[in-house]
This record gives sequence, structure tokens and C-alpha cells, in this order.
Amino acid sequence: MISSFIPNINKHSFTDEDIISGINNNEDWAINTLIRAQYTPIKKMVFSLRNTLLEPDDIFQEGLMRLIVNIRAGRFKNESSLSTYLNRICRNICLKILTNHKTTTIEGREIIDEIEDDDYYDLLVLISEIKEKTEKSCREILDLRFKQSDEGKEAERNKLLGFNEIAIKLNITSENARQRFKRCLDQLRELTLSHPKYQEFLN
Amino acid sequence: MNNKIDFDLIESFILGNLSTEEEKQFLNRLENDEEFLKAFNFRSKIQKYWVESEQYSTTNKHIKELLVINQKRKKRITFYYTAASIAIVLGIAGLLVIQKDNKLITNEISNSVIDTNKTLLSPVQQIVQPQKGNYYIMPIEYNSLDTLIIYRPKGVINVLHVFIKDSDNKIVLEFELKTDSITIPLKQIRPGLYKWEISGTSSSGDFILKETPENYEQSLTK
Repeated sequence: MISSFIPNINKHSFTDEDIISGINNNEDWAINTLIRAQYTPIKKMVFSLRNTLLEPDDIFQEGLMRLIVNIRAGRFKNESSLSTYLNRICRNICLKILTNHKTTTIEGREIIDEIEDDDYYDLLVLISEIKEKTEKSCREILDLRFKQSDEGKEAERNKLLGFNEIAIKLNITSENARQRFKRCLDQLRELTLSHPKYQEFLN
Repeated sequence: MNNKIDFDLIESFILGNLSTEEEKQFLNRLENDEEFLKAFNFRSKIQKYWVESEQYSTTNKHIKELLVINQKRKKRITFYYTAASIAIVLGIAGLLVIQKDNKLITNEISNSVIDTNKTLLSPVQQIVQPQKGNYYIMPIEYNSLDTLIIYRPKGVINVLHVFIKDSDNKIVLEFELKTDSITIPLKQIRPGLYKWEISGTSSSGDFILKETPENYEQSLTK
């Protein structure tokens, strides 16, 4: 079905650069190409570790997600092929799961490279989970306040919506918008406080 | 960022609403007030992660969907391969059964020449030349306990006559062929070379009535 979106292009003809570009442009085919090409090798790698704690589908999904996040954040340095990089990420996920369950002794040096990216990914997951739990009115005002307006995407900071504009959009007063935003921001801080990665937000 | 003033100050800075002097004071405070710096860092980072987490959630959902589609595709391919394999196995098995059945028919006919108790031969219908080993018997040989079955030729509907003629072309037996077939016990005639014919058609054939089993003569006299 997805391949029908890719007219006249052989699915095996994509280079890593094509896929990276596709991922950065949020193209379906790029992710789908990775899934088709990498699912089986990763599954084999997970099975080779022979541990029932490891769910190949979950590991592949998280690995792929980390890969995509790293590519979009410019953290993929192009020092290895995408397949090697994904394999290494998935292997690290497996090793971490096994280390956390203390089912096997793993030398620290085996967990490599992606450690520095973990914080970023984990925080994304954390905020994403918090967002799901946040009440609708808060999500609404936080979205309005945090996202740049369409005409302001080029600018660094001063094209964010001010409380007056938010108030008009929500049909409330500017003071109400400011108070609601402050309340929701405090709520957000409370929710992140319990997480071990919380310190990352303060430094 | 527990007090209202700090909150307003940071929000104003982010919006770029501070004057040059206020901004200078703001930056100076960031350098000297650790709590204020933490509050500002949280405010800046939470905004960044909030925005980027949306793309994360969307992509994550998307990957899940693509994985499901991919797994369905794999299942479908596996199903087709399995179905094709089963069809091939069934086809081969079917061919073997048909081949075996054909062999049984051939065996039965060839054995029938020897088996004097249950001979069914059909000169018209199918194999008119029973095989013995690697050679054909021409003409077909019977003994007097055998039974000759003559089938009505296809497409002919009127009443026909079947003649059994001896080597002098003299009719020794005559039957009406009213049904689809007629059974002729060969014990009625003596050993020799014979010919069967169906009147009004080209269907005919030779056969030899070969051996007379023991006591046959006696049974005839009785």
C-alpha cells in the first residue's frame, strides 16, 4: 500500500542520504523503507541474544524511533551506515533491558555511543507522556503559547503568541490567559518533578 | 519561578518585550541568581521539548501503523506462499492418485485375461488391447468362463444387433443391444477365432476363445 505512494522508484534504490532526507521531510516512504529493510535483521539480532525479556517488535519500534529522533535532531553523524547505527541502537536497548533486570553481566563499555542521546530521547518520551495526561484546557493554552505562529517560524522568539493573541483565540481575557498559562506551567513542572531526568530541565 | 514577578519577567523576555535596559538586568540576574536561572532554563527547555514531543508522538503513532501494515503484508505473503504450497502438494498427490488408479485399471484388465472368474472387458469403451508385460495380445484372448461386454457406441440411439461370427464369418450368436451394454457369457461357444460386430456401425473386433477349463465339456453335456 505504501509503495504505491512512491511512483517509479525501486524500493531498493534508496541511499542512506535519501532516507535521511526523507525522514527530515517527514516522508512515509523513508520510514517504511527502513521498516522493510531493517525489521528482519534486527529481529534476528534480538533472537540471537536468546532472552525472553526481549520483545523484538518493541525493541525495533523504540530503536527506529530513537534513530528518527536522532536524525531529526542532527545527532546522526553519518559515521556509519543507517543499518549499522540502528543495529547498535537496538543492541544497546537490549543490553539496557538485560542490565536493568540483572539477568546477565554486561561490561559497561558495551553500552556505547547513544548514551549521550538517551537524555534527549527520554525527555521527549517523558513530555509526550505528560502531555497525554495533561487536561485539555492546559494542553490547549500550552500549545498556543509554546508553538510559534505560522508567520513567526523564521524568527527566534518574538513571533510567539502573546497573551493578548491567545486571549482572542480562546475568547477569554488577557489576564485569564496569563493566569491559566502560569497555572498550567506550574502543573507541568510538578509532573516532571518526579522524574529522574527532571534535573536536565534546570541546567 | 514561584513569584508572579519572575514569571512575568521571563515571559516578557521570551516574547522580546523587555527594553534594552531591562534585558541587560535580566541577563545579569541570570548570571547571579541560581534559582532564577533554573526557572528560566525550565521555561525554555519545557517549551522546546513540548513542541518536539508532538512530532515524536506523531511519528511514534505512524511507526506503529506502518509496522502493523508491514506485518499484515508479511502475513499475507506467508498466507499466499502457504496456499500455493498446499495447492502444489495437493496437485502432486492428486496426480499420484490418478496415476495409481490408471495403473489399477490396467492391471485389472491385464489380469482379467488370466483370471477366469471375473473378467470384464470392454472392446469398445476403453482399452481393447490388454497388456501383458511389454507386448500387446492381438487379438484378445479369452477362455470360456470369461464374459464379453459390448457397449453401445456413443451417439447411437436405435436398437442395434450384436453378432458373434466364427472364422468362416458365420454368425454363431446374435443379440439385441437395447440398453447401453450387453453381457455375453463365452461359455456358449467353443474355442476358436471369433469376431464381434455391431450392426450398422463400424464397431467390431477379433478375439480368441482359447482354453477350455477342466470339466467344461462335462458341464456342456449336462
